[in-house]
Amino acid sequence: MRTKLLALFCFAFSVPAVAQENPGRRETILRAVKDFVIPRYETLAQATKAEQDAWSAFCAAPKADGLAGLKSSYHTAADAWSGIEFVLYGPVGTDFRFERMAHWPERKNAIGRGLTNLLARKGTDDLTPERFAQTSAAVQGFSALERLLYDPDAAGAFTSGSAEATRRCNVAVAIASNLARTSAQVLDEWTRPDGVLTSLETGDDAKIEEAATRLATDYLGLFDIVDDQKLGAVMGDGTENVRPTLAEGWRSGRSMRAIAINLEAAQALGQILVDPASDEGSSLGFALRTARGMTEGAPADIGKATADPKERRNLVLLRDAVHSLRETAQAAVPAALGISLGFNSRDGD
Amino acid sequence: MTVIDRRSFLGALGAAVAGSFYPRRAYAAGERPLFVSACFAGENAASVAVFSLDGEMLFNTRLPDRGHDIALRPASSDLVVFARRPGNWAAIVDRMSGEVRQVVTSPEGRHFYGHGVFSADGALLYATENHVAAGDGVLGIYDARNGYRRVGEMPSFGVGPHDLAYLPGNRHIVVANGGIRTNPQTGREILNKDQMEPSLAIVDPSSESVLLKVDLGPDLKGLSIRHLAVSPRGETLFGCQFTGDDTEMPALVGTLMPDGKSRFLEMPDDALDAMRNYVGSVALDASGTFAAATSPVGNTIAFWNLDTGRFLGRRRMSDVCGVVAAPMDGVFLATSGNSGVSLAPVAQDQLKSLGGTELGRWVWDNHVVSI
Repeated sequence: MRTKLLALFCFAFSVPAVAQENPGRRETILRAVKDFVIPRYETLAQATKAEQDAWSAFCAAPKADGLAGLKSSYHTAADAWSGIEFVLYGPVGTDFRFERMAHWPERKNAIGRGLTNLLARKGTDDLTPERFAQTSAAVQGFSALERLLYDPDAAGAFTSGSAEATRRCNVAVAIASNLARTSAQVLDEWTRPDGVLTSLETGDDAKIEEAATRLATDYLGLFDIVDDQKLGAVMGDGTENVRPTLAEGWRSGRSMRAIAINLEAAQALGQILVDPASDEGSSLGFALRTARGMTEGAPADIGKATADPKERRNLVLLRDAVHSLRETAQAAVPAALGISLGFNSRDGD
Repeated sequence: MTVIDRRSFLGALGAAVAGSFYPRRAYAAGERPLFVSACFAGENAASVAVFSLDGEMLFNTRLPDRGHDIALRPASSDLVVFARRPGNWAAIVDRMSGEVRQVVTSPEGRHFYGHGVFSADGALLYATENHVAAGDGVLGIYDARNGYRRVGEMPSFGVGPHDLAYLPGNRHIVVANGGIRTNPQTGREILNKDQMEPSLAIVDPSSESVLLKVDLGPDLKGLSIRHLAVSPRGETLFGCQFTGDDTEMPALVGTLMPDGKSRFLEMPDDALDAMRNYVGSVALDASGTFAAATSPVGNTIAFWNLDTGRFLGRRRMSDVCGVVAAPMDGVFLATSGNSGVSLAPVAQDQLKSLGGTELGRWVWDNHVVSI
């Protein structure tokens, strides 16, 4: 019996598992980079630059009626971020840029504490790009800028003419500039002559396979984040356990909008990664349309909606749809790219 | 889910045989630094592989399902690959040839947690197990000299034991009792989220008694202690996973001295935040001075100097989990589920990929061990 059992295990010596040249995969990954990743970083770089300009103009002569324009530029830039946020592969992973672009979910009130410290200091010496990059990651990006802009007393705090108001404006400009600078760096490192795109175009199949693996991991990770964090953590296990302030962007009323854009991005990349004409691509497309459909006309504020038994049902359905979308994508994407995915991050021990 | 009854176990093994056999090529141990880790090689081909520091794959052996940690039997060529929690098998693999010598299954009513350790003479294997009905942690005792027959069990002195290690002197074992009671059906769903009892227990296997048990206090009940590494002077490095409120951010890595004094290793908020309340593995470097902890959730490796307690920085590596000392002082070897194997020198900002081979393309599971 034992011999039989043993015979059933299989051992294999290192026969070079030859990197399988896979022309379809190369084409798919290059298309994903050229048609999805880079255009979205271009949009992000433009939107964050416009936001930086808006803050510089506002702070030159702060007036309360200028806040509406700042909020509009904030939404445009945050929309652009929501459209590429799930990609960790590439230059956004360098120097912990990802954590500096946005800081959510927030732990230990890091943004609140960081901003209190930052606002209490004086002058602008600590706000130069070099010095500002050394400060807490929590205060460097969208989450901190939202906190300043959507403070219930923002109008007074920015326009009182006091030294504190000037400092507050300078901090906001520093954050907006950091977002614009980081976005421009990420775009540049993708597109410059010796950048990531070129390295993929000229790289061997192992390089393409790594990119495929990383992009697919990020892609599936998005659905986990929406399911567990953007929806699940806020919804709790019942209407009595709702945590509205855990919602992403609740101050700016972006919690549902962010998910809708995340799913739009997932559909755009999904169509590239998995041939929509294939059975798997058709299933993925259907699952994406189903989930996206549920975000249309949904209440803007997840925290508020989930406390209402009637609205909550729709959020439960959305969560189920995202969960099932994850399963569909898990079955479709790695197979289409000819890769296997490991998820120590997801099912570790 | 890796609880496998005998029939499906055999079925799974049968399916694993679909892969082809390759010619045997033995190698001599001790010639060069070697490492072993569970992995996937291609679609759903759960395996265990041995590779060298220069990136050569020496062998890989198919497993019926995902493996977790690997115990090395002293004075023997046995490697014991444990099934991932809550598995019921452990494969005894020849570290020279890759051949599976034997398959050990946990007895009825017990399942493995994925870690085990040998007595110094290589005679007895202690494996962390769950007494499913009672929910208590036990150390199953297997006699390696007699075909790994299960000769007894002793309490782990806690719930949900995970990693374990001998302290210097090879008399006492330190056990990380994760404190989590899991659903025996799935083996992963947490049943006692509000009443977890994580602890570190130093046990004496000869008397089957507990010498010291340390918990982290009522404020840190949600902090599951899961992985360990022991320094030559007997300091136990431990890494935790926080299952509580995700807006909290407790310290995740600490040390315990044999006299019971414990401390958390400090790290700046940004770095702690990047660990995302999750440590997947911990290791000490070859000198025993430097500590590393990995977070696959945060795609981060963090370093400390154990002598001074100082935080020494962090590196980004996607889905990094396995970490072990490289032969050079101050250098770790780290493995990932999606970005291969790299050397991580504490003193340098850059990781050095052991690339150019299948090492870079395979999916590496949670732990890597130096042979």
